[in-house]
Amino acid sequence: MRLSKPKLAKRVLYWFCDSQYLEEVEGDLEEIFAENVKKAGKNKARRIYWIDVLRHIRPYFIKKRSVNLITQNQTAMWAIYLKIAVRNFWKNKVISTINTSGLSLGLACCILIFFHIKDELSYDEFVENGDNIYRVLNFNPSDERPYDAGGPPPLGPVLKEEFPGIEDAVRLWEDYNPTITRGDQVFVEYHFVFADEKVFPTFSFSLLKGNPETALSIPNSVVLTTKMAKKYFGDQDPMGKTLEYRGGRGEFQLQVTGVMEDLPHNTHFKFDFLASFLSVGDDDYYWGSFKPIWTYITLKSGVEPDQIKAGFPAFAQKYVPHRVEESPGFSFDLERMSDIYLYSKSARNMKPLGNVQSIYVLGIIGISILFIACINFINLTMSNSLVRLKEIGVRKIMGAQKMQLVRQFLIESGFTIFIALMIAILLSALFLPVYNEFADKHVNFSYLLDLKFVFYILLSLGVIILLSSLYPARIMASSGSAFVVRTSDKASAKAGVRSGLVVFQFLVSAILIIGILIIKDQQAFINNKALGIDKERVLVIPASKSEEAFFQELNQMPEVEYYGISQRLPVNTMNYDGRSFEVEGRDQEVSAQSCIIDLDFIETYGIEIIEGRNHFKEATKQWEFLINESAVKDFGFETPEKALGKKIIFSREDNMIGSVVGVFEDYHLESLHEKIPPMIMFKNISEKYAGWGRQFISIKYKTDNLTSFNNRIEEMWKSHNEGGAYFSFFIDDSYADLHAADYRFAKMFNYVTFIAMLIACMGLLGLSMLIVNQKVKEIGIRKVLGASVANVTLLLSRKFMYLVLIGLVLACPIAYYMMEQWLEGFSYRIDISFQPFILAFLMVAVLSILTVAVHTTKAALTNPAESLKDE
Amino acid sequence: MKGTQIGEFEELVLLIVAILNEGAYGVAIRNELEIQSGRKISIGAVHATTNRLEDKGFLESKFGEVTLQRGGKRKKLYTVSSLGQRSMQESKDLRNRLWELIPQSSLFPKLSSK
Repeated sequence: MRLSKPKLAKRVLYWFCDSQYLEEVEGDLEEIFAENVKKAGKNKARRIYWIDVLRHIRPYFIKKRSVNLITQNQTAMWAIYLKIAVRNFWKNKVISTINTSGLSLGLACCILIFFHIKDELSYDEFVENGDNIYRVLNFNPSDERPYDAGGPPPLGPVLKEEFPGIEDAVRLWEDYNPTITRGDQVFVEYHFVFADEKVFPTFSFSLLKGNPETALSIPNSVVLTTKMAKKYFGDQDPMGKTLEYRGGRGEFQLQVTGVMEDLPHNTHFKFDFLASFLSVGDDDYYWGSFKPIWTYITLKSGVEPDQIKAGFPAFAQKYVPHRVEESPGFSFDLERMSDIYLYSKSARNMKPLGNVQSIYVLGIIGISILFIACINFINLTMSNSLVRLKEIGVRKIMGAQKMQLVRQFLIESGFTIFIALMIAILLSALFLPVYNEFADKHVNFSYLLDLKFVFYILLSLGVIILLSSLYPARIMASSGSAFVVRTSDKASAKAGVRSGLVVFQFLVSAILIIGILIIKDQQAFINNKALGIDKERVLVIPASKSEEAFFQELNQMPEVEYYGISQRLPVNTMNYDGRSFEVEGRDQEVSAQSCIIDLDFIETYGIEIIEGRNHFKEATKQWEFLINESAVKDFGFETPEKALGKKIIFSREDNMIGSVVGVFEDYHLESLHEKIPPMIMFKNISEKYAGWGRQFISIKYKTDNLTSFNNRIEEMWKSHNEGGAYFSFFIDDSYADLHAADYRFAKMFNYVTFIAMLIACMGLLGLSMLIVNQKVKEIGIRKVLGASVANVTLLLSRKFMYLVLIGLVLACPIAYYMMEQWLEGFSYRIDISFQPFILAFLMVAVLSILTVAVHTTKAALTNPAESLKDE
Repeated sequence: MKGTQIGEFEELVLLIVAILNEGAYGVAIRNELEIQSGRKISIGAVHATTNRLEDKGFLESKFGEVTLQRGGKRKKLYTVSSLGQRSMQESKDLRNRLWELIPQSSLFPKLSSK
């Protein structure tokens, strides 16, 4: 009957109960327990045992701690402990260095990752009413990515009319790179937005000058950010002055009615100008086209978003029947504004958004690194203190008590950790500017003053202080002093815990390395993927007013291979133009991205033509269309051949009717996260809209001297466009920009992995050193008996290698699972192959072998006479 | 000595120890107490009381034989000390005296009406 007593309860009893009562109490409890097992069964008996033990916790039974400790002078000892801690720190320089640097690196890394995460979470926090503002999304269930934030122009006001629960609606319309002129200053502006008048109160943007209620209430008014006010007006007061606007919405004058603060970096908004939405001409107000217009609504108090959403299907049926017909189930949806930055499901945003997944990944990595560093610390401190058994033995003989020994160890690890923490704070402060630069953020060091974070860091440090000092203290304090003094090789006694920790370290490092390799592969895949276009050697400049003369000069330049005019560019997410139109053989309208092109656009980008012509007839009166493969499928033409000659009615009113003359290969319009949409390209032969779609000139060049080439083009362009705003960029650069967030993530991951691996190896180095130091004599004897250097090295390294190997093997499935999850975010992705696993395997194995070998070979090479002599 | 006053529960324990004679140890005392008083009593309370009574000098104790039961732990056997016996006697006398002082008329009608 004695087997199933609750062990823990008994331990509790031993812990608190004074020894003079223990025998009586324990015996009686035992008897009652045996009785109860017979009467009421094991479980109930155990429960009663517990209760009885707990009922004995009363002052009468509790151990009287020995009195003499209190009367001793402890203050003097504290000073001694600290002195010994410092001495020990200097005595084992290598171990101390490894210990502190590993821990401080890990902590610094953790602090920076914390900064990053905290910043990501702080987006749009300044908007007071953020939880009650919703962004309206289009929802198209048949699309690969069903949500899209860009809506038709009238959506906002009509929503407000139709739904009484909506307090207000604000639209923001990003205009594509208009030219803004003031006197002789001409600039192309990249962040120009038309906004409804309620924009300021709704989003709590504060105006430095002007009245937020009325600033945008009249047509042709504009509010500038401080940065722009400085750019155009210097130190003058911009209020009431005018700017000239030329862009997608026509040409008109804008009067400055306000100046607002620059937007903080942690918001999903991005604009430099807010012009009144009323300035936009009436012909743009139609439901057919979905533009980069973001519609935000605020709800009346007590109205739930679901109430509004319930009315959306009927609303869509009423106002955009063509879309509903074309893709059944088309409707609208809402997303909370405060969720946009991290959780948005929607394509097309003002600027690239974050995602909550990368936060999780980084968070996990941060915690893992802290873990690795802590494990190092615990392992090294533990092993190192076991070397000091003799010192402890002497202390015990001299009358040191258990608590005093514990206290000494606590102070020693506390001291090291304090130094590591100081270095970590210093390091993170040092690297913060680097991080800011790299992540394009403005994180401030005051972020560190986060109570929760400080609490968790201190908590984890506290835990490692306790773990690293209590364990050795317990072992030493509980063994007899004579024993401690005599034996010096007790260090290997409790290697189990240590081994487990080492395995865990390498498990984490291996996962990180496999992860980074797979991310690299995916990145390379994106870079090298047949985009469908040749993105190298293409320079883009604005269209020229006097085309003929400019092109003649271009023709004379030997470096120019081809050039073409287009409405939009292959890598261009914001200037999109989704159109709905009729095609032959389909009852419903279809929609596609459209792009007007002219001259050698196809050749410039090396777009592959699969079927039909790659050019348009000269001076034709017929509309001719090129479509891509996706469009062939989407329009229901079955094969590219069958698509040729099919009629397309692009616009009935303007008589834009023609046929398909060619099919070109799919190319990527957007980042590889997105699917390739159906696309249609044509030449604008309308006389009514003569200038329509002539926005960019793309030049394919063959020269290595880019600066001079670029300069000459600029000169030429300016001579033909007095006072025009010139810009130029290379297509491959802007393509890289599209994937900047991915690069950044990969790079961050890179650094972090490197640090994790470094810390893990440092730990291994320290451990192997300690173990080797303990075995100096053993090695000497083995060598005397004839062991070779290789023999000894192998013997010493083998155990570590097993541990590393176990870590590696365990890491593979975990890494596989995690990376599968990450890759799912891409429309075009690699399959996970064996390669990264093998590579990671080799990397970790080689690194750890090298690390361990450094010290083991050194030990193996030592002359045995040296190591054996002092006995 | 911590004072010679004893409480109601202490007095009960003292009486039980006396009843049990040679075999008075924790569990036995508790079991007898539960039978006699009809209350549920925790072993912790018994231990606290017996030990306190021992401190006060009303109980004496010695350890029994080592047996295979009770996890090899000995029983702590209590006997009432001479001081304890005197105190029990005193308290019984006191009670008897007081009983006799109760006027017949005020007590028995109530009892008989039960």
